[in-house]
Amino acid sequence: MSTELRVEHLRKVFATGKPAVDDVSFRIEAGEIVVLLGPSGCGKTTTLRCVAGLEHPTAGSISIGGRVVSAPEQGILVSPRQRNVGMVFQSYAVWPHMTVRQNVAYPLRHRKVSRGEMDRKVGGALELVGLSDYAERPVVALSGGQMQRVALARSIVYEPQLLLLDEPLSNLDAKLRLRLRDDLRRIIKETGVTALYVTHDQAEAVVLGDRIGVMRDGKLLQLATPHEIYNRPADMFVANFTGASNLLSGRTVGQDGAFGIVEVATGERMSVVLPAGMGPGSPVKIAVRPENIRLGAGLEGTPNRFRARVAAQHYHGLQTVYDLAVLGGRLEAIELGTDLRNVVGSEIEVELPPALCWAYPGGEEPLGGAASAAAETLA
Amino acid sequence: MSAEVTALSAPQTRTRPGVNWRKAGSWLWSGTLLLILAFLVIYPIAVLLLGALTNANPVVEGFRGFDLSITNFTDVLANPNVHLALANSLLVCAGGTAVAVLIGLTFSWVVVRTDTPWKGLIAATSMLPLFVPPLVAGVAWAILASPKTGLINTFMAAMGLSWRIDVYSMTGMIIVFGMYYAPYIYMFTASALRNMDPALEEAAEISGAGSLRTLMTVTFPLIAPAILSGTLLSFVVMLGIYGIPAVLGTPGNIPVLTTYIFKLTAWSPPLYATAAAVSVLLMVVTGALVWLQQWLLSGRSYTTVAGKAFRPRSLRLGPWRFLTLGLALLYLLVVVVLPTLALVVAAFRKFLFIRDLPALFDGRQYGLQHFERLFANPLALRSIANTMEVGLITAVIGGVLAFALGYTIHRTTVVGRRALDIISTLPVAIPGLVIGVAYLWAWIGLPGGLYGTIWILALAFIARFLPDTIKALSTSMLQIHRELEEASWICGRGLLGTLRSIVLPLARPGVIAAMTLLFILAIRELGSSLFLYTSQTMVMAVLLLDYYEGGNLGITAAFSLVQTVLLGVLISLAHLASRSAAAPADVGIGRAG
Amino acid sequence: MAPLGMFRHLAKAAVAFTVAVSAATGAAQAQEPNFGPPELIEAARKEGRMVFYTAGFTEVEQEVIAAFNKRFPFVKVEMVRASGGQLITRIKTEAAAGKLIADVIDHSDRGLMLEMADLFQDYAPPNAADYLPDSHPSPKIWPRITLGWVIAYNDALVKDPPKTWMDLTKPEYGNAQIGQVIAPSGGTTWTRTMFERQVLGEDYWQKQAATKPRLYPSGAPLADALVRGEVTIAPSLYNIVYSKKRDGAPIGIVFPPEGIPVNPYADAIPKTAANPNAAKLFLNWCLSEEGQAFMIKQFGNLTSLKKPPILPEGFDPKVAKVWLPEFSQYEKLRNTWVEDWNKIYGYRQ
Repeated sequence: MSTELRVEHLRKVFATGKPAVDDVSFRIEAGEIVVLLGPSGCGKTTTLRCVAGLEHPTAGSISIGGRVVSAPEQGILVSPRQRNVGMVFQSYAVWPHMTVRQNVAYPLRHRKVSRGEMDRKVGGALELVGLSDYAERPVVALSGGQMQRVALARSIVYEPQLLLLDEPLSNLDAKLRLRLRDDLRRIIKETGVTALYVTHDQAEAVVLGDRIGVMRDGKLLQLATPHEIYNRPADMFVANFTGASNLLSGRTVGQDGAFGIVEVATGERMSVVLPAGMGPGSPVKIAVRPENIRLGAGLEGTPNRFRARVAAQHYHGLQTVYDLAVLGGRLEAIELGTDLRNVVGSEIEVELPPALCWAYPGGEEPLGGAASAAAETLA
Repeated sequence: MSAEVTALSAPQTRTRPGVNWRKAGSWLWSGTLLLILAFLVIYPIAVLLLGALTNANPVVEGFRGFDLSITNFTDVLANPNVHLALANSLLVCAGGTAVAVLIGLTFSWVVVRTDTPWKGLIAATSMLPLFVPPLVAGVAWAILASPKTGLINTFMAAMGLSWRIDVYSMTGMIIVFGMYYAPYIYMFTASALRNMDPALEEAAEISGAGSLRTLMTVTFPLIAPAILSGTLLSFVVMLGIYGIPAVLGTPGNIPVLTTYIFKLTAWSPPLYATAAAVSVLLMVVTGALVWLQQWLLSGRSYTTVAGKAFRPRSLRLGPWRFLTLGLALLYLLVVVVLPTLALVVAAFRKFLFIRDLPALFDGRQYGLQHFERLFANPLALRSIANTMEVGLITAVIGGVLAFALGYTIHRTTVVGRRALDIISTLPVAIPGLVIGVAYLWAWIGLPGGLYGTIWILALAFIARFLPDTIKALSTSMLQIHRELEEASWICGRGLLGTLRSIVLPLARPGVIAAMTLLFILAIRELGSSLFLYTSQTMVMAVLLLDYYEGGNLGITAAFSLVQTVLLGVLISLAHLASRSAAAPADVGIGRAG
Repeated sequence: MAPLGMFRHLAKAAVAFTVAVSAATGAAQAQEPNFGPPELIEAARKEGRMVFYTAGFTEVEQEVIAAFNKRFPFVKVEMVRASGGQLITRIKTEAAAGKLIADVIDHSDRGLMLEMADLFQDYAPPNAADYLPDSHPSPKIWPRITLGWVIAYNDALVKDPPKTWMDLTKPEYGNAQIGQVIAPSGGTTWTRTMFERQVLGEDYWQKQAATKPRLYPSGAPLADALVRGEVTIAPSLYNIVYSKKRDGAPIGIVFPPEGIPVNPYADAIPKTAANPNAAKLFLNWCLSEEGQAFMIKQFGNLTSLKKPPILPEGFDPKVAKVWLPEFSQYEKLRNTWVEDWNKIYGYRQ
């Protein structure tokens, strides 16, 4: 049942202002889950709604399983109901005047499905989402998480070509969100449906997505596997948004094999991952994830070892966050474990693995907007 | 699950005509609605304007005497009597609105947000005055509180109190207006309060604000759009009411615009051109207010209900809850019990001459004579039957039309929906008496014999109450989260299928409420009926005015009682119907997260 | 149409319309009443129904119809009632649109009906000659109803009632004890105010207005206020207070000796009447001695017959003479005088 989705040069301009979606192209393989990640207003939901047919794109084309469903230039616009997609909404959108079974059976009612097959399919979908015992309840008697499961069952019961999920977990409380998050991936994978998932929560994105697309201001910045997003963020925004919250300013001075050499304000030099085509003397910003900073004396001879003073510590129980004064700036570092190993005021050694220090052209672009947006989302 | 299905390329050939079809359909749909509105609204208003501009009856003079002049307007604007009537109107309606806001807001807060006992009763009481035709309200209060012989004054004289109430005064009219139009405020604010997240109030209280301060700084500002809507609507509706100022204002020599217009049409010879010009003045005032409201509310959203919801919160009033209950009971007494008693006394008593309190309880003075005379008149029964028929037609067709318009305006992107919105609000600005003439002028010449049938009345009511019905429907429609519809489209259901299986069931309580409202309004409507009824199509409101003008208060009161009881029964039935329909949806709103 | 000069002439004599006592009481019903030729009655029976437009009171007209149906049960009379101005608008509009439904039109304002005389067909009742010429301004228009003004008071509250119109100017009846119908309310009230100024004196309005009467839009709510004691004295149409008194309301009635201003209604049959024979039969009956006597006895009407079949209860024509306005003056003076009245009574229209 699953099939590929192809979006090419998608553009959506609302009546006023700049485009909500600006030349976005991507392709989802059959059976793959792609998560669009980004702060609110980045265009991810608009993209999803264009795919669903709920918004009419301004330009570009969308094809599902090779069938063009939207191509405004050629006057093609297939209505949502003819696209054979399933969708799960942020607000659940389960119909309060129906029971669980009625909600789930609804999409089958006007399809040519025999009575027995309908019962079988509804039963299967409910079982898949773990609501078999709740079939005859009115949906309004369910909790939020259960309602969202009903919505999910409803969206897959007719075996759509493509499943669209619009921040399905954001209205749930934290604990429930974690549980349903894991269930979601399992269920989607079990059905084998191709899925496009939209969220602003990076943790959700990493767990759910085969690939993650990070969006900002209507543009798709990077579409890659979670590992790549986390280890090779394409730009400063992606790095920042996915949690590389430490920033250092510097200037390129040379090359050392695969890595570039950057000199920071104190004159110290460090090896970093440098984008191609950056000559010496360019101003850069270096992003480092707090989790990637190693504390304490390590192996002699490894690069990027610096002296740091512990300026503050925040004990989190299972981990401790240290504020380090190093390289003329402040870096946050996270150390796992329940032990408090470094006291405030002490001098320690830190190591910044070069492969996990990413430099991006800096100086011309202040980080204000993107960083604060990212910080907001992270909070 | 099966493996990949090779996509068919066939649908692509279908899609292109699909798009055009869609566009054509949208044009066709809004074109049809516009045509209907042109017939129901624009054409009669154009005829009315023509009447105001030409000093002629457009039907009698035809279009040959087409010398437009604005002398009617300049005359009207220069006439000090018009100034006085306008000033009185604005004063009475402003005062009445203030009273209505005070009452309506208090009770909506009491019902929605406090733990006052008997809230169901209070909620019902708060809506009751809506069912009382203004003429009946006026008559009842004239019996209760006329300065010399009003029952309240007789009672106070018997108690040895020197205090007297004079309802034949500006204050009297303001208070009566305020009491009877408080439901408009209540309707709007109660639903807004119900849909407001109590967390917002709790946040204020956590921040250190007291209950009253929270109410003033958070609650009321948050529902300000609803308060404003209700305020302006009640103001505008009061501007167009004839019955109350006719009964209470005339003896006190306080003319308002409606009584002034009525006089202009009732005098012989009637001064319709002037009446039309005065009405245009009234329309301008109303139009300005509606515009003001939209301007003030632009950018403020009403959408409230989603899957996400909250538990309603009740403020624990402690012993104060008996004060709020007391207030509610007092309101019940003043607005429902006393006027009903007054009508009962008048309906069963031979004459309303009551010298003192003991005379009131003189059993020999009471009997069924007024009812006997009422039902001896074949017109009474016919008018009841006609009224029910016209009310039903109006409610059903008007409800459907209003639903179509409301849905088109608020939920679709078809061309011309702004125009539909504006045109369908126009009738709110025109007093019934004047629009009645406009309909007569506009529709009498139509082929097919519309005139003289019950349908001309129904069409006039539908057009006249279009704004009220759309308003009532839209609030409930806007509360249905858009995603509930979108989910159905995604599931493969078309527009009509979605309307039928999702929107209509969810909007049903709102639709039934709107139809009930329309039914009540149609039954109450006097002004536009006056010109459109014929011997076969006499309606209750007209007959009631006939009895009132005939000077027989007893039979007027008897008929008022019959009408009130009838309305009460019908409304209770409708209420039951909508309650059973509303149950699941209400729960859905009540809890989810 | 009769020349207006004749009316003026007749009216100056005035007063014209004196009710002869001698002819009054007993011998009225000597011969078999004539309601028209048998062919007419037969044709009316075939039509079987008619539509009656009236500015009268619903209840009263229903009773008239019932009485008519006692004699001619085969004609179903359907009624449309509206106040004066509204009725005129409706008639004119319907007529212009070619949809005048009425078979008989009955209106309180002779002037307005005269303007529309072209709409009406020739009609005269069998007893046309018995009617005072001055009571109908056109040979097509007939006074089915004739109403007169009296002084009414609440006899439970007023111990020393006024005896004359002049008494209503006395300060002892001041301070909103008196209720008045506003002059611009229609032809009937205009007749009374005209009488006051022409007969009782140029300054009568000023003196009467000085007692600060309470003003009412029409006679019926005023009569009701009188019964309730909201006002205690009121110039009133005899028919309005008569029925209340008959039913036992605390009302006293005075026929003031200065005169009883009367207003004959105007009734006519449109050319377009769908049921002209039923219409004629109905008017024939109403205008007959039987019909007039019924209305006098039942409703307290007066009549424009030269010889009234009966006299209203308590009405002594020797003491109080009826006063009929001179028609051209009735038309000519109306606007300016009503404006004067409004000013003097402080009525803001």
